[in-house]
Amino acid sequence: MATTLDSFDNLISAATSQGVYTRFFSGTAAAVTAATSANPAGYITGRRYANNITLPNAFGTGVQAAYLTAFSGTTFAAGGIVIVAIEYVLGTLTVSGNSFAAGVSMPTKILRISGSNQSVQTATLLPIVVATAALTATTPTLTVTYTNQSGTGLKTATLSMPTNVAINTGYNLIPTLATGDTGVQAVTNMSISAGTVGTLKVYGLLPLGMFVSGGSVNTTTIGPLTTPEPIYPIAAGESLGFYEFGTSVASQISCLISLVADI
Amino acid sequence: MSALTNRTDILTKKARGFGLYLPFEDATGGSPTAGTANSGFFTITLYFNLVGTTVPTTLVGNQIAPGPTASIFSTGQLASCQSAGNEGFFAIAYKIGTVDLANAAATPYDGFTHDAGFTGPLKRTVYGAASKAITLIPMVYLTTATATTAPAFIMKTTAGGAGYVNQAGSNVIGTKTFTFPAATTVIDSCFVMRPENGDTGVQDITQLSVTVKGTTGAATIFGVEFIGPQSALNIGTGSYHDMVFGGLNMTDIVPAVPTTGTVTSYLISFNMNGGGTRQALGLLTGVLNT
Repeated sequence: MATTLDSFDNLISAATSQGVYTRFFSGTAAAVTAATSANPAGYITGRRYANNITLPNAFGTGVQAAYLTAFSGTTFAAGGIVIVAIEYVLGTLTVSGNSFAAGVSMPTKILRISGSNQSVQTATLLPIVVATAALTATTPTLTVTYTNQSGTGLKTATLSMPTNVAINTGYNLIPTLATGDTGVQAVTNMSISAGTVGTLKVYGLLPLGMFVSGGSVNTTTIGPLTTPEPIYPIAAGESLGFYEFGTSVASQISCLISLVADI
Repeated sequence: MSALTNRTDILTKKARGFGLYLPFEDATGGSPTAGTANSGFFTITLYFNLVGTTVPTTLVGNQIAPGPTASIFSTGQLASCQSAGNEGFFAIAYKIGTVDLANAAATPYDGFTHDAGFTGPLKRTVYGAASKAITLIPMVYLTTATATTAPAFIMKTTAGGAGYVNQAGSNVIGTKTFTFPAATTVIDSCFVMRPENGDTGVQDITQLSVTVKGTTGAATIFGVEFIGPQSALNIGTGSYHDMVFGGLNMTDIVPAVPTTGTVTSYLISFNMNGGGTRQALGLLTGVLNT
């Protein structure tokens, strides 16, 4: 990586010389299917907003990546934690036929920390199972075979889901991982115990920023650069997804992201 | 892989998936009975994980990755309240035992039953020393509502022996009477039990002498270990606490280990100005110390 993160002066220089990539994002989301005590599905209800922001396939000369430097927004309905993340489709299951298609693995990223580059094989701490097409399935159990944070394969997670999960519902796979695992590098298989219709994807997220929304009343934003979280470089062509946790009601989101070039 | 040593270590291990990035949603069961001076002054509200919890019979804490192989040190805590202002904390609540507040026996009687699954004290690495006993805040959490008379107990045996082990590991005969705030104190109500003057908490509880009983009533005794702060003064507002660079406070989210056996524990939110159904949601992040 280049030196944009080495100092705030470098950030300012990158912003002023390259321009800030600013995008407004809005979306409407129907109600999703809440996790239940009988089918806890990762113990929190979430959603993925159906559209996302895909960065251009190529950056300008000398630009190695982009960094999220600002993220703010609100949701119409109260009660959600909204996370923006680089998202990777790790695997897809077509319920009809119980058919799995492998996606990508979590990437290697070069993190710029304290003036030096650290090459890291990433693993997601937030693997989210999303219904990208609504399910017709009665309290199904989803089994996900994955490679863990240490690169060990053939680990399994089982997610107990409610009946007929609505489109764009998302559930956190972390509480269902094998004992001792904390992250996922790749998904190598998915299968479901019941159902005739629907599509499930496992998205591996590298979180970049977050805000908490009180609906049209209040919003609290946490600056991406000021938390003790990895600042992931976003590569050309990568996609940013918007995920909301802690609410199942229909809602709308509007938010603004700003990216600065790594030069 | 070695234990954490610096900022680069923290960030690269998180990126490698050795960490925690946990959205959570906690909620209370309803409207607890407000505390009084005789019940420890505070009105404690415990928030368990919304999904899976039916208070007070089925309690579920926030679910992190199962069976972590090392400590998970907290790096960031974001909390918001979606129903009212909330000044509270993240905590681990350990179930120490139960107390029968309506036994058929005449008062005073020994009403406490220690959880049979473990022996205390609970231990973790403290200031670099492994297996050090930790100090907990004792709380009484009502699981069966009281009726007719507000029960009362003292942290001692009826015969006059010790009722708890204090922060220094000494057995202590309590003298303070805890009285529930109302003859009808509702389930899900929670109060701080007061140890003797000069004591800051307990390592274990061994007996409670019930001096006044109700016609119904039962409670769980929790020992609570603070993890970090939450503060959200209005609906939809949140607070973020940087546990690394905002004043180093990287507390261990993985529960402490008992001397023998297995202790039941819950990663929860709680506040000290409770009342009414409330909901706390947020994000808990951490890094595995490996």
